Amino acid sequence: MITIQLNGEAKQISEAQPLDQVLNELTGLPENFAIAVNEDFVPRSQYQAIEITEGDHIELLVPMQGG
Amino acid sequence: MWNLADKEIESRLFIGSALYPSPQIMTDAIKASGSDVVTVSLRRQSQDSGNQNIFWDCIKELDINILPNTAGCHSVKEAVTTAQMARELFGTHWIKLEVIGDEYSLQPDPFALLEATRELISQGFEVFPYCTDDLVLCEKLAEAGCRILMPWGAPIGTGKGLINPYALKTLRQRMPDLTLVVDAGIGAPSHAALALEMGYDAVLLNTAVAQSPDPVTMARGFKAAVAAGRYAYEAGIMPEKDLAQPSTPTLGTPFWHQHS
Repeated sequence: MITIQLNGEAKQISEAQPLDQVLNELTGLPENFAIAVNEDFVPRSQYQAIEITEGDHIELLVPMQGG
Repeated sequence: MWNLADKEIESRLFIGSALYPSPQIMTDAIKASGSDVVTVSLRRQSQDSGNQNIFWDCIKELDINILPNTAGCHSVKEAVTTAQMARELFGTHWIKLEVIGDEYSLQPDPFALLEATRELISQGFEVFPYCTDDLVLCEKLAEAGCRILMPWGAPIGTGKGLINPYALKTLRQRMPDLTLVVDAGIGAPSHAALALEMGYDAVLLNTAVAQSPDPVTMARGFKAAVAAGRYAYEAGIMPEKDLAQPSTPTLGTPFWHQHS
C-alpha cells in the first residue's frame, strides 16, 4: 500500500498506478471535475499517462459558487 | 449590445454566484439582474454532496457566460494552475484572475498578478484581472495584453462603494479604449450607477445582491441602476457649478416690478 493525499486528506491505494485507475477506485466521483497533481494541472488526455506514486498530492476540484 | 472580449452582450452588470440563501434564490436573482456574465469558482467537493452538484446544474440552466475566478490563490503558481483547471472544467478561456496579497483586506498582490497575467495571456487566456486602482499597475496589465481590467471599488465584501473615485476617474480618462469594470466593494445600486456614470463599461458584484434580505428585488434594483448610469454617461452629465441658477425662466416672472 502507498499513501497519497486527495484534496488534503491521506488516502491509501494499493500501489503506484496511473491516475485514471486511481479515479476508478473512487466512489462518489462528481460528473464535472478537473485535476491537479502536485500543483500542476493534468488535462483529461493525460489521466492514463501520469503515474500516481507515494506522497503525491491530488486536487480534484468541482464547479462551486464564486464572486 | 456591447462587446466584451469578442462576445456581444446586453447587460453591464456581472454577477457573482456565492452567498445566496439557496440555489433557487440564486437562480431567481441572477435572472432578475438581467446579467449575461456570472462568476464561479473551483473548490474541493464537500464530502456529503455525493456526485450531485445542484449549484452547477442551476448555473448551466441559466445559459449565460461563465467567468471562472481564481479566488483564494496567493501565488502565481496557484493562480495559473487554477486557471488551467477552470479552462478545462468550464470550457472557457475567460478567467477572472485573483492573486491575493493581503489576507486582511483581500487586496490583490500587484506583482504576482502581473506575472500571472503575462503567463496566462501567453497560454491563450482572456484575462480579467481583479486589480487595485493603481494607474501604473493598470498600464502594465494593459501592456501585458489585457483588454479588460477590473479595478476594485473597495475591498471585497465591504459594500463601501467607490472609495477612490479620483483614481477610478483617472483610469477611465487614461485608458479610454480598454474595457473597465469596477469589481468588488459595491454595496448599493447608487454605487453601481456612479461607476457607469463615470464611463465604466460594467460592474461586477455579488454580496450586495446575495446578502440583501431580498436578493431578487435587489437584483432588479441593480439592473435599473446600471441602466440609469449608462444612460447618463451616454447622454452627458451637466457640468457642476458653484452658483445657483434658476431653471424656471425669469422672463415674465409674475409680480415682478423694478425696485425704485
